[in-house]
Amino acid sequence: MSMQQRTVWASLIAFILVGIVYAAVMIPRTIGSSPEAISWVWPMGIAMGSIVVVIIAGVIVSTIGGAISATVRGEEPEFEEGDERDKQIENYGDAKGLSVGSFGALGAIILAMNDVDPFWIAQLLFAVGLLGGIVGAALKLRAYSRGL
Amino acid sequence: MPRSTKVTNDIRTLRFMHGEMTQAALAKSVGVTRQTIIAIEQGRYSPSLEVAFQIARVFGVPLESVFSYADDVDA
Repeated sequence: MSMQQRTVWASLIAFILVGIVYAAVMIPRTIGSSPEAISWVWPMGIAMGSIVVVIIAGVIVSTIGGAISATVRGEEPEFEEGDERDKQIENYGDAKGLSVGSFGALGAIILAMNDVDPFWIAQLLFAVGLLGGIVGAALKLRAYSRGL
Repeated sequence: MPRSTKVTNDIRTLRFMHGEMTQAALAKSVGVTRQTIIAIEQGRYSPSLEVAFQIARVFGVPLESVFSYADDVDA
C-alpha cells in the first residue's frame, strides 16, 4: 500500500470519527438554545485540528503496522511513494469531494443572504466539508480497489 | 466487480518469460508502485504512454507486444 493510499484510509477514518464526536458535542448544545448563546468556535477549531492529528497518527500507525506485518511474513516492508496512478486517483477523488463542497458554499451564500446566524453558516460549511472529504476518500478507495 | 479497461496486456506472460521477474522488480524498473503493476496486469488501470513504453523497454519488446486494444464488438 502506497503512502497516498494510507493517507486516504486515515482521512476517511478521521472525517467520520471527528464528525461523529463533533455532532455528539454540538447537537445537545443546540437543543433549546439560541444560536447566539452556543459556544461553537473552539469545538469547531479543535475538531479541525483533530482531523489533521488523526490523519497523521493514522498514517504513522498503519505504516508501522504494515512494516511489522511484512516482517512477520518474512517479506521486505514496503514504503512506496505514490506514482501516476495515485495522482490520478487523488485528483479524481478531490474533484468529486470539491463538487460536494460547492453545494455547501452555495447553501452558505443563501443563508447569509437571509441574515441567518453565523453559527448555522459555519455548521453548514463544516458539515459539507466533512461530507465532501468522506465522499472523496470513499471514491478514492473504490478507485484503488476497482479501478478508475 | 472491478472495472476493466479495453487495454489488455501480456505483462504476466512476459514476466514469466523474463526469468519469472517479480511484480516488485518490474515496478522498481519502471518507477511505479507494485500495486500499479498489479492493477495494470488485472486490467483495472491503463497506464500512461510513458509507463507503457517503459514496461515494453524492460522486456525489450515493442509496445504492441505488451499491450493491445480490444476490438469494440458493440460498435
